[in-house]
Amino acid sequence: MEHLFFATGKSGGPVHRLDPRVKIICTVAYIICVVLTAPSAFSQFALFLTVILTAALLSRIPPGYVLKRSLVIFPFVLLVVAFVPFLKKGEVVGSYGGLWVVWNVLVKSWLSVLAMILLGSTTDFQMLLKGLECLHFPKLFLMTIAFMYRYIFIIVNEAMRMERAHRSRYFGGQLLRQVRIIGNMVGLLFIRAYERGERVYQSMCARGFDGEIRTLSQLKFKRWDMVYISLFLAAITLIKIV
Amino acid sequence: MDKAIEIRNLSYSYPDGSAVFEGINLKINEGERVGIIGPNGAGKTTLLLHLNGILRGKDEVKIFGLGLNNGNLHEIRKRVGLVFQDPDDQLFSPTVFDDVAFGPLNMELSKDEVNNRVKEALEEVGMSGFEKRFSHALSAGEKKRIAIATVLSMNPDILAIDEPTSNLDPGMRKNLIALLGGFQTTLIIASHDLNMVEQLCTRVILLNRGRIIAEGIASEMLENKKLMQENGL
Repeated sequence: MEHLFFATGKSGGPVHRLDPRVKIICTVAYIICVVLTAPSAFSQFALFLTVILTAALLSRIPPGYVLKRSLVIFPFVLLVVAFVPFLKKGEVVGSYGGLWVVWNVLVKSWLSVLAMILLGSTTDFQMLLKGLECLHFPKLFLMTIAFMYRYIFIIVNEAMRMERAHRSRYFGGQLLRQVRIIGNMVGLLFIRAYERGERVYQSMCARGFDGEIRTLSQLKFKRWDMVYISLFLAAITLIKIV
Repeated sequence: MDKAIEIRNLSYSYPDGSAVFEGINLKINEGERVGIIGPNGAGKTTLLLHLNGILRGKDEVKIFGLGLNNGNLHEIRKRVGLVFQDPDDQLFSPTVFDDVAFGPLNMELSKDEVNNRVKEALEEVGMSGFEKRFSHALSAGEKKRIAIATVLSMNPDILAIDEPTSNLDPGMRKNLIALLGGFQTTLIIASHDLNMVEQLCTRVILLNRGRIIAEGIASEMLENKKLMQENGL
């Protein structure tokens, strides 16, 4: 069965080869800098956009691809933002101050998402986890994310199979009854996932799991990592200072 | 000499009170190859889960003379390698390497030793070079092999495998039987694939409704068509 999860840019550009820690640090630093920019500083936003597009070019990911994927967030942000102009106290609906807030939220979330997309499409999920681990991200969270990534395929497959079995015996009928059946399916899926969790835990215990998570870290900083992180951080600091 | 496995009068009930076993007695010698056969729901999987203390029933289970208690649990889990029926339960890490290294890491071996064990285990199941592959993207046969490797990397003395040939196509099945046939450890196979059991095991134990119905030499027992039919096989 086919899924469209987690498409990663397979072309191994120079950004792909970077230590994931470098990319994580750069992304977080970038987002913090963007968030801390005044809404009226248009030139700074333009420069931030240039930085991310340069990085995208460097990674040989078509900027168009990054831009297109970033559009995904607009419905969400717009939904949040749409009400802001009406909520500002003591101002006329659709007024100048309210629009500033809209602009502020929109541009910052868009730039941040661009950075996240770049990170996501140049880093294997495994490497991302490894990087977070080396940065001392809490292991319990990491393990939860790793399990989520590992089992989402299986749970989606299970859901697809159930849906198929349902469809093959579905000849139309009352809407209300269908809704109930779908509700049952969701419940069943939950129970199956829960039971799967039990069995996975058993198989972990069978191999000596005692609650402590042990891993081998194998990341090494290379010169290119140093160069990239220095340039990147210098670029965004310059934008902030100048 | 201590038996590899000695089970005396084992009883187990589900938490809701319904009994799975009553009074199971079983002795398995070191190096022996034993098939546990029985229809669906006979209690094969539940019995395997008792061998390293995942489940604990009433009365005694001894592994190499070690009683199953909290103090011995770690040691026993090192010595009994359990391979689950569904490889997706066994392979829970992002990459094959992480999965095969999971057991050795829990044994607190050194980094080099862990790397060695992973390499050897993968070699043994004929999957060298799969370290960096993603567990979820493997075929059913590959998953089965890796699942076995995740246990082999702990160098167990007893290998207990639940339905090794389920969900495999005939070619894969034949490969896997050849693989299992090459192992030198004490081997316990729970299955209703009688043909495979006959090829691999010297002794067979027939389990039905939580009781041992019969046990004996594989070739003789599997010939007894009446017995097999009566027990849903």
